[in-house]
Amino acid sequence: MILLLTVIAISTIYIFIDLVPLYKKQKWTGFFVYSVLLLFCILIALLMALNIKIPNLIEPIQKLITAIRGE
Amino acid sequence: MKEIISQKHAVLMLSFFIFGGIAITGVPTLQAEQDVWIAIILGMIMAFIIYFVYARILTLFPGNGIYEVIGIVFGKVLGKIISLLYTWYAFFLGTLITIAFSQFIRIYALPETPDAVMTIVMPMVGVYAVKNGIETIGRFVGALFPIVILSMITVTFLSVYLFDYSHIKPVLYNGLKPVLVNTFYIFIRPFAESVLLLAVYGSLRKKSSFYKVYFSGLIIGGIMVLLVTFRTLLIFGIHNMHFSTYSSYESIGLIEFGQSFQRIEGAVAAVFLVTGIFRGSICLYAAASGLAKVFNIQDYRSICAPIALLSSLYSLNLFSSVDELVEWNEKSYPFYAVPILVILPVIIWLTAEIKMRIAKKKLQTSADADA
Repeated sequence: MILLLTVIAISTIYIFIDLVPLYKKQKWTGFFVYSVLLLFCILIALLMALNIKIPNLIEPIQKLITAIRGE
Repeated sequence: MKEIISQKHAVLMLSFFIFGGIAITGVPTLQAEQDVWIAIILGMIMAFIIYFVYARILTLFPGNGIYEVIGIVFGKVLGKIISLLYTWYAFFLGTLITIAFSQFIRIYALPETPDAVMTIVMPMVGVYAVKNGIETIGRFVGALFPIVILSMITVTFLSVYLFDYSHIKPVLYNGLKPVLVNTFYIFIRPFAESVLLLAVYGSLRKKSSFYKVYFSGLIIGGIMVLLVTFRTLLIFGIHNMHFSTYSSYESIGLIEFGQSFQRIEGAVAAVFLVTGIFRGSICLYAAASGLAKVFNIQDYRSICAPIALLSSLYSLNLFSSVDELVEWNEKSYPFYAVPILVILPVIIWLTAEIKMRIAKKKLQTSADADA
């Protein structure tokens, strides 16, 4: 829960520093990409706070490499 | 306004990037064992070849970074796909660096502090650096480089009394094959990882030589890697190096002169952290400028903060322990990285050469027709 609160606090600061100026300058692509990334961060933090396992990309990559190397 | 970095800063950035890759963990030594220094020299020779490719790519399109070159060479759609691959790699390497350094701080300095604090705070320093621009990062390296060199040389001189030269003997006891395998691992980390600087060198001052930057950076960075590895090997011996995750750092901890002069590893740790922050900043810069290129965003700085935050969160999920990270770095990472660090740059270079020659021929034919 501390992680989620930290991420929300940092995201709020970033919204004022970065997102509001992007909105004011009407740079919509930047605004959209920024918003999606930030929402994604909050979502991940929420999943972690709820102890839901997030898919780990390392495991399949490691399995693939091991299969190719034949170990 | 376009940012400009000087040739001197570009050289120092490359050396710093190479050295930072092994500053606390040391080079992979699993196969070559006490002959790891031979593997480093061979790794430098291999890096010399791939750096020629990197420098050639930039020389063909001066004033352009890797993402611009990819766009010119491969067009809009394929260019964006390849740019995304590099963006992903920059993001991933940044995450690995965050994990390595936050674990280092947790183990040696702040054991009670939760992982989340370090993994979120460290990339925020990177965000600050990237928001100030690549020119500022270049100057930061220029200012800190003499301190890093001075600390490295001082520590090496102070540790001479601990050197046991039997640690590097017998030379080539297991033959050349393990050394060659180890060479490949060392070639990937720390040398070939500097592919990310291709995104930075688009800002290099005009009339600078990319070859000079790459080859000078390789020699300085390579010597630093060699010096630190030799020192660790001579102090620690290969078996202790295998058991220690942060062998380079721990070997320095053995230096002491009486009761008053000891535990100097703390001062060296600060230098290590600086290299970590620099490498993290470069990864963040490469990831942000790549994503900005893919989505046609003019200023990469405006999107670097959420990328860093995402990297922090991702780093908390990637490995459950330092040992897993070490195992990944030693067994899987080099094979995972080869397509991005070696194969793709070679494809980009060859395609660029062919395209440039066709364009030149066309230009010549039209000039002849006009005449």
